[in-house]
Amino acid sequence: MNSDFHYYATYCAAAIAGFPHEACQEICYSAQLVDHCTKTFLKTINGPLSAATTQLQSEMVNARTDLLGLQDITRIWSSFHFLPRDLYAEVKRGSKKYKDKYRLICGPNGNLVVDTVNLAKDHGNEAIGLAMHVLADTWAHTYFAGTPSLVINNTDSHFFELIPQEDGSFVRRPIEFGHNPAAKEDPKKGAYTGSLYQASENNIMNLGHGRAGHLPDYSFIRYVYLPAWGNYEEIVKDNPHDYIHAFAQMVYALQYLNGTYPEFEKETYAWEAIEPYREEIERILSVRRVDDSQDWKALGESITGETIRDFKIDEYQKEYTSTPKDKKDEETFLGRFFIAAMTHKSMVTSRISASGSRLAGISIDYISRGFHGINDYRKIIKKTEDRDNI
Amino acid sequence: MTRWQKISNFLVAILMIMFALLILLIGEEAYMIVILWLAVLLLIHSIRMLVYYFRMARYMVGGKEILYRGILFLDLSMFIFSLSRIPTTYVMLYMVGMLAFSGAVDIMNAMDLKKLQGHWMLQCIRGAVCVIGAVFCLVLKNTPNMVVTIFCFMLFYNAVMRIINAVRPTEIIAIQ
Repeated sequence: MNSDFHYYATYCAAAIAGFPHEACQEICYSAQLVDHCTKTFLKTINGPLSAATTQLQSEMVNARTDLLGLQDITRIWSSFHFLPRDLYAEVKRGSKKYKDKYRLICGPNGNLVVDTVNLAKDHGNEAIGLAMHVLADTWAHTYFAGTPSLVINNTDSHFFELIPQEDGSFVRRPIEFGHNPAAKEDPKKGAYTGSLYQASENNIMNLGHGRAGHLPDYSFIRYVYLPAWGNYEEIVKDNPHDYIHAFAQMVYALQYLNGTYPEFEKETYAWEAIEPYREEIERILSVRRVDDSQDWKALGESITGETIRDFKIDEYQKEYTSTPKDKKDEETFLGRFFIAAMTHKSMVTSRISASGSRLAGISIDYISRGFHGINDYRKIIKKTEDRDNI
Repeated sequence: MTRWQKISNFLVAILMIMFALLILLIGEEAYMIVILWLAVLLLIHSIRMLVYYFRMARYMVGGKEILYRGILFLDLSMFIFSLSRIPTTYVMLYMVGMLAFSGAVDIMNAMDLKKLQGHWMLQCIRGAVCVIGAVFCLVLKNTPNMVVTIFCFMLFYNAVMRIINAVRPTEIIAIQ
């Protein structure tokens, strides 16, 4: 998903769920920030590096490909962009390493989505926005894993776009991915870009949906392909269907987070709430173009009657850098976002670790064994202790 | 590449250069060492590929390709082990094949990198040097001394490329 959905559509979802305009702005800003909060960004404002929620090209090039480096990559991409659907999925084939990687395959309505939404409850708009990014990506990035893996994330030449016809049927058009990242994507001509085939299991080219290019990020597209893990069975990815479900589930999650519902349940969607806007939403989702920002923005502004500010990466930087160190985490937007990011990353890492997989690192129980590991995470403990004291 | 990876690459390159010089000093007597070196390298590579296939890639769509590669490399390594009793002509022919193949692959990769606007020139030069090396192998005399000399040249050349790779930046596609 791109900024059109993570920023403007998230604003619309928050507005429909009943949040006031300023809260909607904070929620969608936080949701979009997940795609910008790199270690490079954190270094420029002297933030905690463990709060990174994504990686730049240059960071991935320089990333270590040993065990610790792969764990760092997996923590970031599995936690924020490819949330695993089922960490205990029954896999009757392959070595433990294969099973561990298979269980990181992303998908909607897993237990981790429930944990993600619950973790954001009563933790501010920053945590809510972050959770909405993660939830939305479970729909877009379905069938790919947030760890470098040839045997899971590879695709081959059996890849077709389903072009809708006037009579409601679909025609298959073969997709041949180019590999020039500077080339412009052209959905009208079917010109898409994907990462190069690399036969090495842990090559960074085999991370997430890189081999399928940006197709999972486009709301209009439907495609058929053979996923590497799929035992030669074709999979149909219907993005218009998935994106409307993502939107309806976001509205429901946001309604839960603002207290409309006492509990967040899987497979539940706010169809009634979005009904007045559904026709327009489906129209936006089905237009063949790579960026729907303007239409989502217009829809959001028509719902709240307010002007939506465009996303600017430096909007909250001055507030963060000018606040005294001991007050950053409580009193600044970025400080609260970093705490939310580390709390979420910590939760996902411990769930993966508890499933017996070491792909995202090892999680240690703080209560029984005390603090071990990366110092940045002391912030979470301090925050929890402060809350307990209150 | 991290700083540590760059340092370790640099150290490995130095060891390769020292080994190449040592073999050059030994001269014709090092013929057996050269053959063993080639065979062991291929054997390790093929075993790693086969283990990867049986543990993981056999469950992947198109995974058989990894098996075929593993078997091919295993076969080649066995072939080289047996070459110690065979005239140098065959070793030279093998070197021609290896150099020509890796040269062609490098040149094709360089063309891909050019499309990616990556650092293609270095890889293209490497490919061209390998192809030129293959041509030299074809025209030079098939003596054990020549095999050792060409092997040392390849070792030395790879060491230099390793050092250059350690200090240059690389590019890849990002996922958003």
